[in-house]
Amino acid sequence: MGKKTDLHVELHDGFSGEAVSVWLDGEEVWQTPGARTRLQIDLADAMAIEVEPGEHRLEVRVPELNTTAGLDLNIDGPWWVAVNLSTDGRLAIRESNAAFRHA
Amino acid sequence: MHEHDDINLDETLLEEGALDLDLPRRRVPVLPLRMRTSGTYTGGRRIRLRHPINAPAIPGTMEIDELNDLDDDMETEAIDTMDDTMGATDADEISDENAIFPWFTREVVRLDVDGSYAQNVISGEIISGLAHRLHWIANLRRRSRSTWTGTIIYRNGVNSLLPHTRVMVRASRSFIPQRRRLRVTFYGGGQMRRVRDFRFKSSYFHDVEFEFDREQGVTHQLSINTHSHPNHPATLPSQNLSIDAVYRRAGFRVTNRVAPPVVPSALSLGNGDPRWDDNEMHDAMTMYWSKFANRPQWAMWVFSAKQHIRGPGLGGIMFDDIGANHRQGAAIFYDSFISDTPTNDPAPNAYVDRMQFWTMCHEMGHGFNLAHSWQKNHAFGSSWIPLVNDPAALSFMNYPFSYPDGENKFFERFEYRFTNQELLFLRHAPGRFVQPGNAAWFQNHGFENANTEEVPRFQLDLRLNRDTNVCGFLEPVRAELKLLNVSNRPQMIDNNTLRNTEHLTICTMREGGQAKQVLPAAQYCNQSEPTLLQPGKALFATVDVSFGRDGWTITDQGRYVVQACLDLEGVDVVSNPMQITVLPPENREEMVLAQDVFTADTARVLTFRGSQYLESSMNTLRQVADQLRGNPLAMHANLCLGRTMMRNYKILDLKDATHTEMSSVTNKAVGKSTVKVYGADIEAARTHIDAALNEHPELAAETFANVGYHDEVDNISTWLAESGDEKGALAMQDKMARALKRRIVTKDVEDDVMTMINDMKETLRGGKKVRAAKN
Repeated sequence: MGKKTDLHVELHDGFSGEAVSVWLDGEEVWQTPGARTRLQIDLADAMAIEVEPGEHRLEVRVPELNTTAGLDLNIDGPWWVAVNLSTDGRLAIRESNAAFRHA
Repeated sequence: MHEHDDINLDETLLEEGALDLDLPRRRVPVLPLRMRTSGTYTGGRRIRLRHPINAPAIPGTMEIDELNDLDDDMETEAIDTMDDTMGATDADEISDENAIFPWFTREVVRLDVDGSYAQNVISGEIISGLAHRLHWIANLRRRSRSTWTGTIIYRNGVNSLLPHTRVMVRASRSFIPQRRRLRVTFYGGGQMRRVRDFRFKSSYFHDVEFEFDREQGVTHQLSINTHSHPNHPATLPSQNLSIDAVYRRAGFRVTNRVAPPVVPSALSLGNGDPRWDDNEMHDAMTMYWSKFANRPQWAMWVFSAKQHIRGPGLGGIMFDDIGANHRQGAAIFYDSFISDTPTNDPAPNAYVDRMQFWTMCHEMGHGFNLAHSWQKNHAFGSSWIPLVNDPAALSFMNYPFSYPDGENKFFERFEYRFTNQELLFLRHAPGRFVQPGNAAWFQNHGFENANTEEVPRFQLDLRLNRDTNVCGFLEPVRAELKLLNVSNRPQMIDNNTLRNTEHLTICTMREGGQAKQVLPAAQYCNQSEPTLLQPGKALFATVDVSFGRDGWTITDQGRYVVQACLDLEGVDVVSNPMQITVLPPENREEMVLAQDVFTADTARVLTFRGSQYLESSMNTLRQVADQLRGNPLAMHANLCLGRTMMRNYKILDLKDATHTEMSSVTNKAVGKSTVKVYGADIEAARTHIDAALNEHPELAAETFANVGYHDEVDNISTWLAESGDEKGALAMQDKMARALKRRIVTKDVEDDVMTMINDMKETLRGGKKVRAAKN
């Protein structure tokens, strides 16, 4: 097994108090009871989890909106994932091998 | 090409070197100086026309409404002709039918037709009285060198203050700014023409002070050279550009605090982590910002620090969304990505300088309530006008690293500016939308446009005259107003100044809530009684602050702030903000009766001290008098019940008239009406009045306020004397004298009051006709 690395999950735009849970490979790894986007930095909340390099399945769920989104990741170093919630209740996930920047 | 390169005698840019253009040294012809017209103008002096608008049409001129059918050039010519024939002069004032308080109207306009990034608009604010205002914006098209016309495209406030649809602006130019004038003609919408003259005040649209504080060990970036990094627009002049210059170009007259302090890093260690969290920065702001006042003001605190607790991914934040006054401060973090250089950059130091500079301007933009470029039309919050998301905007408010064509392309095109949409907001939106710290319009500063005297002659005190400003649940809050002559000379004043409610504005605000104006239930037209108020002497009156024309403004337990403002011949005298606490209900009866007490009808009954028509509310007050004997409201209820029984009471009964007949007040309605007379019930009246005023006189004085209690006792005493009960009348006066003696603190006031009581007793003796106490 390779040395573990960090997977950063950030909730960005569109959250107004929803409970959000993050699942990795079928296991809940994080949940927040009320994510709320701070519009001045386009960020609601963020977490980091240690993972083994390789393939992983990430899912983000917002139960009260009955919406889920998933992404297959191939991680070979520090990794970042951003989640947006659209006005019509859909989640969108994007990934990056560099930290997202906020100001 | 930078529009700001116009040379202007007012600009401080010349001194700053921001116009240090990279020109070769050679002799050039002297360029003509251009006179800027843009800026802020004040006054709004009304212009009288030689011939009234509704006079017979002068041959060759046109009626107002016909102007709207003309194309723009013909419109200007038509207005010119009308001016020539009708002859607008700098003459007397004209009655403005649209002003709610025509004698007390202030106006300001902001003309934006030249200078940096001209928006070709004019905006204005009309303030009538203190609480009636309208903010408007009109697009402009140039008609001639000094004339523009346009359509009013935005209004916010009381529309009746400016029902017109079009505007024409004529400028009198001058190299001497103080001699510049604007004549603004409002027309269209079927309205009478409205002409106002304005005087130049400033080349800028708002004044603002920035304070740039920094954490110990941090060097902040307040200026850059625009050509230091080779990646820049080809048309961008090489110049030393400061943060201040960025905001000057946006329309602000910027000043800075001299020698700002260094904030110790230890302040960030509250949670053991050297990184700053938002609360720690807010605390630092309250401690180190010289202008901190936790109220809206044209000032901002800008903090350069090492790192935020969110880590290096956060380059800056407008952290102040804490408490009631947001956007007072912003922070930039130098141990973050804004100090990282990308690989293979041709000018890494310049890259970092540029990113740090951009971040500071960006965060300060949030302080002025600008949203990100891609979030202008967001589901959360509300925009002041319909806005469009623009993720490709070349603005400080866009993330260069999120630009669709990439960061390099962003800086290749970016001219260190805000978009036109953003400039329109910063310069012309209602000030409270832009001003840092401005949430609701009333926050201890509520009368933000108060026109106070530099050396005040009067002081207005608002008070409850109690040991503590605590009121019972349901208790009508009646405060005392005291207008004190604080000058060293006698002042001529109308004795009825505090009783003429149209010159008085009262506002209440529950902690954490919105401000509400207490509109008077009635306006009293009192004959003027000029009086010479000596230095140190005062006028007194009482005022209901918990209800007015539209019902109750204080209905819940909690803390409130109440403030008053008096218009005294065009000058505002603002009272102290009076803080009061309303207690929770003491028992179930209070909670149950509250829903019937807190109605507009009951407020009306309490205002007018009773009614035979509003039976439901009177029944509520009977229940209060019966069930809530210990509650101050019971005293007010008994007073209302007693006063309606003191004399025969007449009401106009329209029971047989139809609703339509009543609402149009036709002859049919009048014909079907009868006058009903309710006979007096002297014994019942005395019982209620004793309960209201005599059983506990000191409590009565507390809840009715000293002056209000005095007035009520005088009224009742007069009635008793006229009814033949001179002994009862004098006994009431004696009780009142004892009660007020224990309450009045100042000897002078006590002496004056006792003199008035003795005079009243003399008048009551022998059954003399007494003039009733006021209102």
